[in-house]
Amino acid sequence: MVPDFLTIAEAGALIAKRDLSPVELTQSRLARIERLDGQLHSFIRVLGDQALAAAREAEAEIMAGRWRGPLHGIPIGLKDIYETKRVPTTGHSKVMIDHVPQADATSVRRLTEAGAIMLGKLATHEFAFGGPSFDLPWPPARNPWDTTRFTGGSSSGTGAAVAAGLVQDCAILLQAMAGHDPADPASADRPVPDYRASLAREAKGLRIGLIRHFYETDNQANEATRQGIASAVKVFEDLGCSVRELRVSPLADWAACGIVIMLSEAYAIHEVTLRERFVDYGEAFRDRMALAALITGADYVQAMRLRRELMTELAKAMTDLDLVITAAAPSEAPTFDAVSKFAIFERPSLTMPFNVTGSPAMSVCCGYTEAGLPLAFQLVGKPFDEPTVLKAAHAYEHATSWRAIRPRAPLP
Amino acid sequence: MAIASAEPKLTPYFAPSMRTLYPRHPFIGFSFATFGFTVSETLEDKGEHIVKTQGMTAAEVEAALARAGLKIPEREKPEIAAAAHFIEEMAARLRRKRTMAAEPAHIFPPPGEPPNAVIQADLRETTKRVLGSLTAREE
Repeated sequence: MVPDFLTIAEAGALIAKRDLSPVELTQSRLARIERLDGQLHSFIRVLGDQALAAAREAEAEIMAGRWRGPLHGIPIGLKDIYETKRVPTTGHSKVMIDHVPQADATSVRRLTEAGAIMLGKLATHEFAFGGPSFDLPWPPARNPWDTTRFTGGSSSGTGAAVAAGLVQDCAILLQAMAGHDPADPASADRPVPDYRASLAREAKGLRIGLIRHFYETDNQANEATRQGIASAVKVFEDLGCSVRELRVSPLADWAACGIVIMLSEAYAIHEVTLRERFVDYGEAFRDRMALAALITGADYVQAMRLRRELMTELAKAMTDLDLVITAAAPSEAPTFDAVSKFAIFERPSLTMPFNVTGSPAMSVCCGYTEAGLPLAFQLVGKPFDEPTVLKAAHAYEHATSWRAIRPRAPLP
Repeated sequence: MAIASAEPKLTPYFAPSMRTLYPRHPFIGFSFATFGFTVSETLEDKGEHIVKTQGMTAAEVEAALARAGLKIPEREKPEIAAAAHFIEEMAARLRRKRTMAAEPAHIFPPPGEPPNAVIQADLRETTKRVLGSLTAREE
């Protein structure tokens, strides 16, 4: 019998040794989806037959001695904003419900080439922006730690489906997807590091900056989150890292910059459809987009100017640092009814600063509330320094026991 | 049908907002918002005399959305109008005292401008890599 919880690294190692069959693994995951996803709604489309066919193919290849690597024969889910050849890709929206791409996105192609098996398409906030919404063709994903709660987003189904932050798996997936994409003019053309190799290195000696004001004054986190971060800082100090406090521009500046850019660009993409089919979008998405119509061209350019300044500010602030720590969210996941339509404007996002700068950032579990809900902090690196982020996160994960805890009730 | 008037609300998170940075014009005695914009003049103003829309009324928001060609359901209009202040407050935060040369996206900053550390670091690395890949003859 295949265990319910296996990391990619664990399953990949078993498959490589031929101790685990990709077909049995895929069947077990499909059965688990069948058993649980009626409550979680993490998938909006399950590709059972296609996944089993791919698993049989992977198994035949591996048995013939053609093992491709740690993702070969591993079932994965893809957020429904990734274009998948001949499989509908909707952005979780009625607006694109009939959209069937003719080609895979580069990231999907690379994962498939690495041998991953696509189990299906995962729920997302509408166009990775609008949720949580109950007026879309599919319901929002529910938090497996407590199904009355929001999953966060936009990777709502992804979060619900995985429900455990595992650094080694992240490194394996990133390794398969990273690299220059000639079809994407914004893609960096630089060598791809060996991310898994970086996990083996010690965290000792890392210099870490703690941006405390983001979660103590700018967007006040609850006591459990603050304690979780304080404990995480202590763990890093015990691992031989130095931690000092860092002050940067107020969180609201970063949030304003990021939201104005994001809204403007999303509005430009959806402008024609918003005019023609406004009510076909979910209410949360369309009303946020309506606000984007109030942003001027000058606002957008000022945001781009500020973005450049904030990138420079963080780069300077991190001159003698390797990493930054701050909160990932001000609290545990809220209940659905606590998330308002305009929630993204009401409190500045703690993750937005690193969207603005394009820094590699990772959310890592730093404990649980008394009710057993996970809390998280962010580890942020310098541009293109994913290896250091992964190294630190991996060391932290191994120094703590959080990764062993999994969702329990109300799931069977 | 006109949107019900909605008074903008401030949140503690985006304060100080445009209410501080962009008050009604005190010398003229009326608000330029009547015409869709206001002049700022306070010392706290990071941008120094920036003309910026502020305090849009519900009717102004409705007009802007109609001009954009959006057919908003009546029920949602008041909520959108009440949330317009979020955009105004964010737009105010973007304004800073900047030189005219501070364009939004420069790979090569104009002379005298502080270099963008991130871009410059990348350029240095790329140049080093390209030079390192050249053969003696190419050099």
